[in-house]
Amino acid sequence: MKNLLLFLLKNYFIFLFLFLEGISFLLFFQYNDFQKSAFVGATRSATSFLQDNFSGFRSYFHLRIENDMLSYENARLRNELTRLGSTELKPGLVVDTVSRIAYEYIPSRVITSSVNRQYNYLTVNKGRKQGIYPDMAAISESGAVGIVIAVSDNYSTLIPIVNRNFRLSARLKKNKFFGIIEWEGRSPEFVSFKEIPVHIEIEPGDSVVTSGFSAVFPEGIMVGTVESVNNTGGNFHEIKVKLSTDYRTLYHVNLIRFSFKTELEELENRTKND
Amino acid sequence: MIRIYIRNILRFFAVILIQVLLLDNIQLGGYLNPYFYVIFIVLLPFETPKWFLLCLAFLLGLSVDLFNGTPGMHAAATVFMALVRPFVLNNFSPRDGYEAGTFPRIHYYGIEWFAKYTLILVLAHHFFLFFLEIFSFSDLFFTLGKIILSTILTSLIIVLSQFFIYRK
Repeated sequence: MKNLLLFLLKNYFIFLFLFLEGISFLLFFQYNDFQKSAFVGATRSATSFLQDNFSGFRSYFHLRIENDMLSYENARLRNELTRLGSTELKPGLVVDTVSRIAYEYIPSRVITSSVNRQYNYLTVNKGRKQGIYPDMAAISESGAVGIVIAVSDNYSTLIPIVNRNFRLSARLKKNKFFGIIEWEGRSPEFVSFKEIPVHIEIEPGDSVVTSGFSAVFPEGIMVGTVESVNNTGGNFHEIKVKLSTDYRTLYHVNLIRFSFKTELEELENRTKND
Repeated sequence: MIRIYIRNILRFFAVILIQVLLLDNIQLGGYLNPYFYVIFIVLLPFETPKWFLLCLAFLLGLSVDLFNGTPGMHAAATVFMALVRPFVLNNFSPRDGYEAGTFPRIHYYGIEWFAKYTLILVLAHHFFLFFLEIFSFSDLFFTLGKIILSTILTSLIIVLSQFFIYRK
């Protein structure tokens, strides 16, 4: 016993090292993906207050691009307005008062984001008090961004497409064949588009949009354009897609509230239980 | 003596804030992110007890983890770096050992010594960190490239920072 104690004491450095590494690894592996997002959510609410106050100067890095995008968006909306204004409502037309607006957009600002890790996250400055709940979709002016995974009172954490845990059901715009968008953990500009069979003709430049199969993303939101197509002899194409959203300059995102979400989920659950 | 404690405590918080508020927001080419916060371990006094070194490294790593949402990842890498430090210091020590009252800084031991010492510690940290993050050997060359480039960048920033915030 004495010898054992002496041995431990003599090599305490290495044992303390192993002990601390043990704790670190336990933390690292104990959190599976879901718990990890909960951890992120819980700690983010504490840390994002601090980061929110510092994100002001971050915004200066992207002012120019942001301006261009806003003026572009402005022009697009102005066009829409004139188009709507010119369509006359005929008197006596029955107005449908039953259906509500299915999708509602809530603008928010990115406080923190990362693109160079394997598991990237975004934090935005809208939370539970502003009506944000988990599983809401987020889009930018240029396309799909990610999904809300955790909310605190005033902030929420998003899992972007550029996270290794992210999967998105998407389809080709031209012929509606659908597949899965996945990020391989390399450049934040490119993702791979999987499960498109080889007999489908696909060319660089084709648009990829969301499929709308889940109740999260509305249908037809831009994801990106096909950059290159490879065939390695398998049953599926190997497609590289250039994302339309540039995560490195992302500053404004719109969160999408889907009004019929509970209704749709209830319906799906009913059929699942049978 | 008290001044050394206070200086290191302040540095502990300063490097975390610099890391999470500034450096984590600046993305260079999308691939690189300098993990400057390890400078805290680099600059600790020679006389720091080994057990204390490990505990400090663990705390430092865990604090960065809290901000990044990666429980345990930075902690594991920083503790590994702290393990390596005494061995590196032993190997690089001048013929008659480190003088009392000196610190591991350019001012005392020269830029060549400091650069070598920093490079090896940072390499140990980044090697551990990036393999833990990717957690596979499938993209070996991609990971190695990332490790080497990031190590050079982090070390460069640490060495340069010595010229900007220079105090005896």
